Amino acid sequence: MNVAASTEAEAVLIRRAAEGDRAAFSSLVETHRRRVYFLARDLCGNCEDAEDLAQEVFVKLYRSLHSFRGAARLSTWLHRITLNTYIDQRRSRAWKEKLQTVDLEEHTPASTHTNPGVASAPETFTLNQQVLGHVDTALDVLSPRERAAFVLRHFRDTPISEIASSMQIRQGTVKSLLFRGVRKLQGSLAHLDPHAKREGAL
Amino acid sequence: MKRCRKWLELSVLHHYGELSPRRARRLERHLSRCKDCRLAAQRQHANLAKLTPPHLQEPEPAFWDGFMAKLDQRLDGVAPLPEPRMRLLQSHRGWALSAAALVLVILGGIAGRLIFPPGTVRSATGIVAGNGFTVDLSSHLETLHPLLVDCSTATPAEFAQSLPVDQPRLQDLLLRNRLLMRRAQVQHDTAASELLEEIELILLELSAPATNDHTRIGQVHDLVNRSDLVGRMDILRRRSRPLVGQEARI
Repeated sequence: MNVAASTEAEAVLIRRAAEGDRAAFSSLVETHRRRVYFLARDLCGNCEDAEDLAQEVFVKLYRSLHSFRGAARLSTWLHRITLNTYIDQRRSRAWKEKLQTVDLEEHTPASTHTNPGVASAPETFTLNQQVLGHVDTALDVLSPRERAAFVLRHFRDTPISEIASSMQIRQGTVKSLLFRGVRKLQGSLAHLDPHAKREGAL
Repeated sequence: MKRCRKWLELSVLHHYGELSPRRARRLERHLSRCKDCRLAAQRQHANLAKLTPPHLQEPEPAFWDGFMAKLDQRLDGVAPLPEPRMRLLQSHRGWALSAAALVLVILGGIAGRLIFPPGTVRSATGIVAGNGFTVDLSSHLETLHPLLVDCSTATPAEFAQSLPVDQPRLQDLLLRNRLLMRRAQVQHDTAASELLEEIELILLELSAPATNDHTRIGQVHDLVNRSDLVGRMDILRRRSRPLVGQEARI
C-alpha cells in the first residue's frame, strides 16, 4: 500500500472511529500504539508508567477524534498529545507530592536534598557504570518540559524546529530548555565525577 | 567565566548539529583560544555521549493483547465527546478558558486558605525562614499576578490591542525570574522552581518579536491556562504571606 492509499485508509478509519466504530478505533490504535508506547517509555523512564501514559493518550484520542480536522497527520497529533499528557501528568503528580511533603522537607537537613540515585550510589561503582546503568535516574533531575526536550533531541534525534512544533513553543524556548537540561545533567554528573564539578557550576 | 557560559550553551547546540556553519566556526575559534571552555565543552560532550538511549525491548505479543484489553475496558466507561458540544466549545473556547481560569483561581484561593489559614507560619517553599528568598519570591509573584491574570482571561483580540507590559519591563521581569529560579534550585525548592520555569516560558513567549501574532497570543493563553498557572501561583502567594509577616517582625 503506498503512502497516499494508507493516508486515505487512515482517514476512513478516523471518520468511522469518530462515529463510534470501536473496531475502526482499535485498528488505529494497533497502527500507532508501538510508536506512542516507545515515546512514552523514553519520557517516563519505566514500562509501567509508559503503559499508563500510552493508555491515557489513546483515551484522549478517543474522546477528541471529533476535533481532528486532518490539518496534521494523526501520528503528529498523537505525538503532541503524548507530550502534553506526559507534561501535565508529571507536573500534577509533582505538585501533589510537593504539597503533601512540604512539612517533611522543612525538617530535612539540606544535605539530603541530593539527586535521587546519585548520592546513594556506592563509591565502588565507576562513573560509567553509574551513568549507563541509571540514565533514567539521571534524567529525573529534569523538569517535565526539560526532559521532553532532551529526550526528543538527544535520544530521538528530533530537530529543534520539530520539537518546537510538537511542544507548541518557540525554537528559542526549546534551546533554553535544552541548555538548562544539559546544565542540570552536568550538575548531577558532577556528584559522580569530581573533575566535572567546575563545569556543572557553569 | 560568566561570558563563557554563552559559548558553552552554543556548544550544546553544536553537539547536536544545530549551529549554523558561521556560528560553528566562531565557537571553534573561541574554543581554540579558551582552555577553560575547551575542557568544559569536551567534558560536556563526553558526558552527553555517555547518556545513551535506554535499550528498548520490543514488548511480547501478550503485552499488546493485555494493552488492548485494558484500553477496551477503559473505553467502555468513556463516551466520545459529541461533536456539537465540541463545536460549541471551540467557538466559545476563549470564554470557556476564561471561566475555567476564574474558577481555578477561586478554588486555588479557597484551598490555600483552608490548608494554610492566615496566621499559620509555614514555609510554602520548604526553606528556612529569614533567608529572604520567600520574601523575594512573594514580591515577584505579587508583581506578576496582574499580568498573568490578563494573559489568562483576556481574549486574543483584546490582548493584541495592547500588550499589558512593555518590552524593557518584560526583560526586567525575565531577569528577576531567572535569578529567583536559580535561587530556588539552590534551595532545592522544586515547587517554586517549576512554577518559575513555567512563568519563564510565558515571559519568553511574551517577549518574542511576533507577540502581536494571534497564534502566538493563543499559545500564551493556552500555556497559562493549561498549566493552571494562576491557581498554583495563588497557592504559593497565599502560603508565603504569613511568612512574610513573620520575617518582617524578625
